[in-house]
Amino acid sequence: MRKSGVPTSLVMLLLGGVMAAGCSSDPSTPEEKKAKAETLLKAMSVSLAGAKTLTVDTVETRDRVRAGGQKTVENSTRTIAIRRPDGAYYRITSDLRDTEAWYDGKRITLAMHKDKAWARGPMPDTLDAALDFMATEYAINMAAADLFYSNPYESYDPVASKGGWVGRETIDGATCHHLSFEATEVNWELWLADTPQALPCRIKIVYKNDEGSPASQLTFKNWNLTPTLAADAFTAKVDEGYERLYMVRAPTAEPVDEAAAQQSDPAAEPAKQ
Amino acid sequence: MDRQFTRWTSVALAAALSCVVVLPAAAARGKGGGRSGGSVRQTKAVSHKSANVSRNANVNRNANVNRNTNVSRNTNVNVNRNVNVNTRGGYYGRPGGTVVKGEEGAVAVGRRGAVAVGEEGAAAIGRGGAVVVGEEGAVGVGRYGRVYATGEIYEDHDGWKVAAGVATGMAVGAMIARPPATATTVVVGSSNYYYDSGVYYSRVSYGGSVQYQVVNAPVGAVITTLPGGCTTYINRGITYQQCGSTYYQPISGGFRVVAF
Repeated sequence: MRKSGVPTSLVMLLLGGVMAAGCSSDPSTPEEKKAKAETLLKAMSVSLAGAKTLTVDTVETRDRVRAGGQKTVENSTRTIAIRRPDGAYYRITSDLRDTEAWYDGKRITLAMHKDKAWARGPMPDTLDAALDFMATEYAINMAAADLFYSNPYESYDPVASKGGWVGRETIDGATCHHLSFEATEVNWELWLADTPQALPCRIKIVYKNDEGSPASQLTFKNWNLTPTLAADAFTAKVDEGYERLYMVRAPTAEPVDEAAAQQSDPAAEPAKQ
Repeated sequence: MDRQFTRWTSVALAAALSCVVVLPAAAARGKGGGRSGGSVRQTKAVSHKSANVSRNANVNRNANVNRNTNVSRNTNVNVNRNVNVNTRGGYYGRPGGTVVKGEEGAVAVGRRGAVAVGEEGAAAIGRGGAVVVGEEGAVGVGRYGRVYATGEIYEDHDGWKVAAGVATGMAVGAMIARPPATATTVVVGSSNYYYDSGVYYSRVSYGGSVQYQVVNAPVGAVITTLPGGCTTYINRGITYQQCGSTYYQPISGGFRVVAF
């Protein structure tokens, strides 16, 4: 048999070099894994925080624990648009609901299309405060919210959590870094694209302190950090004939002037479609 | 007048305490509805705020069934000492309300409801409203008689019964994702309510979704058939039906919710 022209020793040397280069970028100790995760989170944070506007779609699964402990799963899709520092919009669609939400720097307006109803409540004037407010005052939760604060890295607070980089995985054909952390209230995992922007591929949050430890998982699609948004993208649009509902406040809500909160100010009425 | 005031105070107390008694512990704890589904930061924010709510609840841990007798006794004492409160002309449902203080507790009467406080309990009274506190949680009544969430949403009435472990009526403030199949629509003014077996529901927005929240019987609501367990009550020569904490006046073709 005729030998090839490339010496075996040279092939082995090249292979060894490639393997060594690959391994050297992967951390091995817990400290290195946490440091790598923090580096990736910071890269993601810089990318997202630097976007004045952004849009993204998500495919979501959310556990719901019924009385008695039975767990059901809601599958949904969501379209999200953000304008820093005072605009947000989403539309979530599932078997249970088709809801649009607009935050315009003053109020949040919900249009619940399956129920032909809408509701409105006051909001803080910045997105950071508004995202907190949505959860604590109206119990409107969004697992992806951490990504839309002005400093996503701080929202995840990895320094105060246990965990770090886990490995690489393929999600929808893209290579993503898998991070996993345990915090006091939740365990969370984040998959970040193996690109300089390190945009999220997926997130999973387990609410371990809640009965049945329900989880939410979101897979991100169509990230756009430079979208052109319509001028009225964050102006509420409610169909004619929808019933206005009272917006019940969460148990954690602060006392507010409900008269102002619920007042139907004609000037503040949503645009009718 | 003193005796009448005493009666109404007792009624208000009974109404308030009935809410306290039937509040399911799971609902009162505020688990679930307000937390899961949020982001890492949102969950932390809600958790920290929930801790503050729990502190209030601990203060009121004595608002249980066994305390009813004590509260009623206090009520009589209160009324005898505070006749002037009644002369302010307030029904219990009047805006602004009245507050009657007893030896060891306080009774706060809000716009459309009341708060009863036991020997060691305390009530946080909002601006023109009141807070009814159960063993571990709270239902807040807002300025306009609306009720804050208990933090728990049930799939339906059966789901609530599973959580509550009892077959009683639902507490004001509890929410279910859909009204009972047998519920009928009741229109009061421009508001729609849903009624079934003595319980009134209002369609509300909570947690980004439509829910059906148990509310106090809306004055003016008309139903065709009374729920079970009602008793006759006569006031100033007029016969009413008392069903739990709700009073109905018989009218042609039904019964209208009234307030005193």
